[in-house]
Amino acid sequence: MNRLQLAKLIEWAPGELESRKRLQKVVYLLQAAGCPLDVEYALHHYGPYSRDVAELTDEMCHAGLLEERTSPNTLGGRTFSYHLPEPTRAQLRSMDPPVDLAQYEGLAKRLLAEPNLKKLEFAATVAYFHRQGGSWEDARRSAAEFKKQDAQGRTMLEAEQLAREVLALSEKA
Amino acid sequence: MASKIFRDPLYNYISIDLKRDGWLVELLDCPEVQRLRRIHQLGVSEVTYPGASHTRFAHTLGVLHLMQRMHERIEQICSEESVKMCRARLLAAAVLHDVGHGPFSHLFEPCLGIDHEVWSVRVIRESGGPVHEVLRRLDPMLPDAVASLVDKNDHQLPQWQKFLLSSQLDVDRMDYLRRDSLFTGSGYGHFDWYRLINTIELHDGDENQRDVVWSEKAKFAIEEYIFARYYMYQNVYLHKTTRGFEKLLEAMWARAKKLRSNGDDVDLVPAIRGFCDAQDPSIDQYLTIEEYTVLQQIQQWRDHADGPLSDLARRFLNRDRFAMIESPPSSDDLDDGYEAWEEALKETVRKAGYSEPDVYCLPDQLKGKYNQPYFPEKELDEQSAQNAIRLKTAGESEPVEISELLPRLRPVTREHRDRYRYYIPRDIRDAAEQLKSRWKR
Repeated sequence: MNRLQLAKLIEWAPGELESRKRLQKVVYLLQAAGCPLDVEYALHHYGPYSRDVAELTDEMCHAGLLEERTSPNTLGGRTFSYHLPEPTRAQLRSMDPPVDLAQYEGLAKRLLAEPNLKKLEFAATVAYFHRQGGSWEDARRSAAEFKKQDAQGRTMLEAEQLAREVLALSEKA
Repeated sequence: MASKIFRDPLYNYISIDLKRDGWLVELLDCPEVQRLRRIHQLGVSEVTYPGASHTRFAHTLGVLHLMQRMHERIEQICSEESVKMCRARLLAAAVLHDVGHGPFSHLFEPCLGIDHEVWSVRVIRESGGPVHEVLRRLDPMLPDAVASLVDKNDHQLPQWQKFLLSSQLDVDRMDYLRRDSLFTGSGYGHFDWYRLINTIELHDGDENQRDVVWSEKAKFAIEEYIFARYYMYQNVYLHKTTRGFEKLLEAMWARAKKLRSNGDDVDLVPAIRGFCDAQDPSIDQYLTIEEYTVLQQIQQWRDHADGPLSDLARRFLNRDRFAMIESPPSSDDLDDGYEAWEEALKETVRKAGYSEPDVYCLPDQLKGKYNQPYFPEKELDEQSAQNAIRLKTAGESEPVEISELLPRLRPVTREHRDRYRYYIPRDIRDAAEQLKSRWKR
């Protein structure tokens, strides 16, 4: 994943991209859909996590290409949000759009706007287990066990549906 | 009480109680584990640090020793039966976590296209293999449990058990930082490991959700550890000479692969030929490839008819190093500018008469994550021992990441720029430096 691709994703977020968790899971799901972002992921406590994504985000903030805002969250920590400053937007307008990302614009916008962050987290986790091998049922059960959730819970079932839609795109591709 | 004692330069006595843990000696005596005596812990670092001749086997013993101490500590703070029950698997995983390493440790992995963890898991699971049998005799479930701990993609066991072996502060890193420091003579890599082991805590949740954290009194020992890690990366692991020979070895192997795919005979030694020809190489085929095998191969290539292949082989054997040139700093634009710089440098190499820039202009992208000691995740809702070192502090319900507690660590924990280095023949260093001085992003 390069700077241009990440900037484009942030541009597609409604308003600003709220939470690093959202960014992590959106990039994972886009990659699972077949988008060639070339990012390494490992399963962490909160689902698939990429140090590459975390690092690129911070590097772009450091270079002034992204702006970061923090707000207190319910856990007692901080949530980090990101938006593009005007000079970065101007650069984006002057450059050719990243070809690899173009066909995933619809999916990216949908995931970036998903109101239920837990659903994204679970969907990424279900997709992770499914890609390890096994049926969707097994993947949802594994994800539910991993996340200490009810495998029949509404969010988990919706997450499986979202993961199915995402991976179906990779099969089409 | 009878014990098996290993004298070790870091811990002096590494002791195994034969009555309780005689099986560990059997495990250490397995051929797959003994093979680690013939793998250098630091790959080709000897070209830079002549003392760095220590082996994966010595490191394995060190990790075992630390895991013994770590389990004692965990038993003190958590009396649950499950903690007692996991002892054998933790100690076995400590012994076997590196059993799948190939010649020269990590650096040869891209040459053979392998991941040592995958081979470690295969060795452990291989029914009938010596390692598998020792584990199975102790407990038929043990091979699967140990493989699960070693396999980063396996999440069947409670995560805190995996974190002891592999996380931001684990027994593996605690041993290799100090051991590599000692044997390189670099003088870095010191920290109060005893304090770290004796201040570890398990953070709430049920058995499967527990995280590994530290008590607040460990903060200075953790600070020392973070700096030790930083200095060791800067001075030892990413040393320009060592990295240069690593890249040279990779380029040599890539050249041989290219020739072979074009139908040329690259005169492979039998062990390497057997591995490369196999559709699905067996464990025996893999484990037969040792550093001696690779060195014999390189000796043969020194006289090969292909000029670049024989030149790289000669350079490797004679320590005839390439020059290193750092790329100009990346731009602060969306296009970081590395691609254009690399193309221009390759053109300089071509113009100097080196017709194969893939062989004579070797990029080395040092990702930020390797440049820095420790890069914590900032958002609490994404943190665990895998991406953050956290401490329990008075008045906070959730553990606090160390650089939040000690903000003076931030300049090193949040320095994250990638660095691009290039290795080129020494006779064109001046031309490359001139290109760099004129280069504008």
